Amino acid sequence: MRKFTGSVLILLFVFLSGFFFVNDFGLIDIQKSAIVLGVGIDRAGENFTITAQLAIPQSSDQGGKTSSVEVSGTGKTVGEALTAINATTGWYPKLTFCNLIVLGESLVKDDAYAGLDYFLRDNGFSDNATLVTCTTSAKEFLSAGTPTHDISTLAIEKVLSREGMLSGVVAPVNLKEFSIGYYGSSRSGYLPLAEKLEQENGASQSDDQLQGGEEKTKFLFDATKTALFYKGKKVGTMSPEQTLTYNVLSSPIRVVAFPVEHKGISYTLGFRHAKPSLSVSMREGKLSFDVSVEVRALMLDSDASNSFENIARSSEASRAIIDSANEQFTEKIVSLIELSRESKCDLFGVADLAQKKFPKRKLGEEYLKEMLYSVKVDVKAL
Amino acid sequence: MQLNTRQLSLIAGGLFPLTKLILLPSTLAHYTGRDLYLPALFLFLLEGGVLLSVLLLSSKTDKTFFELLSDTFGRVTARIVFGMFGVYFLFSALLPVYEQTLLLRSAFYDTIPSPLFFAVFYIVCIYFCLKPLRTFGRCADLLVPISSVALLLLFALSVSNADFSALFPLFQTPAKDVAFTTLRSMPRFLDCAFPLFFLGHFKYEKGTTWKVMLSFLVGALFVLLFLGTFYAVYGVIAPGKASAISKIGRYFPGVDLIGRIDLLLIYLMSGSYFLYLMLPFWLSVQCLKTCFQTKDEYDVFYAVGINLFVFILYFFLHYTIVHFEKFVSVYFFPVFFLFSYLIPVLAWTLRRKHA
Repeated sequence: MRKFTGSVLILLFVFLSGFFFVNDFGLIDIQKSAIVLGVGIDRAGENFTITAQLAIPQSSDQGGKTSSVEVSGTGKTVGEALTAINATTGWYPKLTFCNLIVLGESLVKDDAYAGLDYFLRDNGFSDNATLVTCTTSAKEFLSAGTPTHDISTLAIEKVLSREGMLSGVVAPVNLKEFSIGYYGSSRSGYLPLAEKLEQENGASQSDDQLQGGEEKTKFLFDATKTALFYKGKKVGTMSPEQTLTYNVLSSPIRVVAFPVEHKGISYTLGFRHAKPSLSVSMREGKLSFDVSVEVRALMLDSDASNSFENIARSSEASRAIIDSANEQFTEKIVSLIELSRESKCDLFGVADLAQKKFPKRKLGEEYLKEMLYSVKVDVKAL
Repeated sequence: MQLNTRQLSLIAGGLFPLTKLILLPSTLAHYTGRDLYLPALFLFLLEGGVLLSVLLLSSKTDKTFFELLSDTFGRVTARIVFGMFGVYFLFSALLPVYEQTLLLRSAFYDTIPSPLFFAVFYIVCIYFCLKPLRTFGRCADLLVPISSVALLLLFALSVSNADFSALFPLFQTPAKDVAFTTLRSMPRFLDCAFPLFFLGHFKYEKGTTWKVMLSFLVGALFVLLFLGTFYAVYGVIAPGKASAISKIGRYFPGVDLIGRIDLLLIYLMSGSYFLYLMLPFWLSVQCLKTCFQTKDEYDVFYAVGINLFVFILYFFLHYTIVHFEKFVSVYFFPVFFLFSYLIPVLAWTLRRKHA
C-alpha cells in the first residue's frame, strides 16, 4: 500500500508538472504582444480611431532606452478599432499596462462614453487609468515629442500626477471617477484639458539631432485648464485660476499658489490647510447650495522687491492682502458656480448632496439654474 | 476528536466569510444599490442562528449526525438523507468553484485562459478528500491567520479611496427588492450546513459556543464592512465590478510607486479560498461513503468521481455559468433553505440520548 501510494504521488507530481509546463513556461512572445502605454480615441462620423502608443524596448547596443511608436486602427466601435491594430500590425495590444486615455477633440463633442465604455467593460484594463482630453486630435497629441521624456504618455502622466493635484494646478481624474460621475445622478464630470506648448529647439536637442538627425518639434504639456462634461459631452472649460479654486474646495492640497492683486501689485499666496464645506439646505422654499471654506495663507512672493524684514517674515501676509485674497477667492468660487449653472455640469455634486439630505425631493432638470447659493470664505494668515 | 474549538472558530470566522467577497458584492449592488449590506445582514443572522443551534446541539450530545438520524428514523432513512446531502454538497460546490476561477482569472491573468487552468485544483482536492477532518483543522490553523492578515491589509489599502457618503441615504431600497435579493443570495450562504456534519467529531468544551459564535460574528461584521467599503469605492458602477476583491486595493496611491502589492495579498488569501472550496467536496465524499456503507479503500472512487463530475460540469457550463447561477438562485432557493437552514435546526428533534 505504501509503495502504491508513493507511485501514485510521483505520478501525480509528474502530471501536475505537466499542467505547469503547458503554459509554455509562462513566456510572453514579445514579438507578438504590443505593450500599450497610452491610448487615444478620436471620432470621425460613425468611426472611432484608436491610437495606441506602444512601448518598444531597445537592445543594449542601441542604448538600452525604451522608445515608443504610435499605431492606429479604425472601426465602428473601439473594440473593432483595436482589432484593426492587431490585423494591420500583427501585434496584439495588451492594455494591462495602459494608464492613460486621451480623448480627442472630436470625441468629446458628443457623448465621450461611446468610446470609453469599452475600457470599463474590459476586465484586464485598469480603471485607475488617467483620463485627459485635448484641443487637437488624440493621435496628434500622442505623437508629440516632449523634452521631459522620450515617451509622450509618460510625460503627460507626470503632468497629471498626484503632486500636481496636491499643488492644485491640475485636476486629474481616472476612469472610475469619471464613470461614477457619468452614471450618477448628476451625469456630470470633468477632465483635465491638455494643450501642447511648443518649445523652441535649442539645448533640449539631443546629440543625434544636432548631428543632422530629424528635428522633431518638442512640446510641453499644459493641463491647468479643465473641461466640464454633462452627459458625456464637453460643455465648458475652467480657466487655470478656476481649476486652482476648484482643487482647494474639493481635493486634498499641500500648498496651492493663489495669485492676488492688491493696489496694483501682484502677490502669490500659498493656501494651506483648507477646510472646505459643501452642503445643501432649503431657503425660501428653494434648494440652496452653501459653500464655506477656511484657508490658511502664507506669503510666497510678490512682483515688487521687498525689504529684508518683509522677506524674513515671509509667512505673514498683511491684513490688507488677506482681505483682498478673501474677496478674490470669493469671486473665483462664484465664477465657478456660475460656470456650473451655465454649462449644466454639476461640478460640486449638488444633486448627490440633495439626494442624501432630502431623499424624497425630486430635482428638476434645471435644478442648477433654479438653486440659490451662498459663499463664505475665511482666508487667514498662517 | 478531529477538530478543536480553536479550529472550529477559525473555520467559522476565517473561512466562511471569504466566499462572500467575490461575486456577492456586485450582485447585491445590482439589486439593492447602496443598501447592499441589508440582504447580507439578514442572511448572516439566519446563518448565525443555524450555527448557534448546531453548537448548542453539540453541547447536548456527542453523537454524529448519522447516529442521531439512525437512532430516530433507522439506518436506512439515515443513509438516504446522507445520500441526498452528498448530492446537495456536490452541486453546492459548483458556484464557489466558478467564483474562485473568476477571481484567479481576474487577478492573475490578463487574457482569458483555457478552462483547464483550474484543473490542478481538482487533483489537489482529490487528495484532500481522502484525508480526515483533522487535516482541514490543521490547514485552517496555518492558512486562516495568514489570509486574515492579508484581508485586513487589503481592506486598509481600499479604505483610502472610499467615499462612505455614497452609502447615504440609507434604507431607500423597497423592502420587496431586499427580500428578493436575500433569497437570491442564499446560494452563497450555505456554510451553516457544514457544522452539522462536524457533530461528534469535535470535543465540546466549556466556552465552545461563545468562542465560535464570536468568531463568526467578527467574520460577518467584516464582510458587512467590506460590502460598505466596496460601494464606497465604486459608487453607482459597483454592479459592474465582479471579483472586486482583486481590484479594490489598486487605487491606493502607493501602488504606483511600489507595484501591485494587492496581488500578493490576494495570493496569500488563495490558500484559504482553496481550503474552503474543498470542504463541500470532502463532505460529499463522506456523505456518499456513509450512504453506501463502503470501506475506506473505496473513498478514492468517490473522490475522483465527484471531482471529475464537477470538473466536467463546469467545463461544459463554463460560458453559460452566469445563466446557470441565475436559474439556480431564483428557482432552487427552497432546496438551499431546506438543506442548509431547516434540517440543521430540525436536528434538535432527533433522539439525542443513547439507546
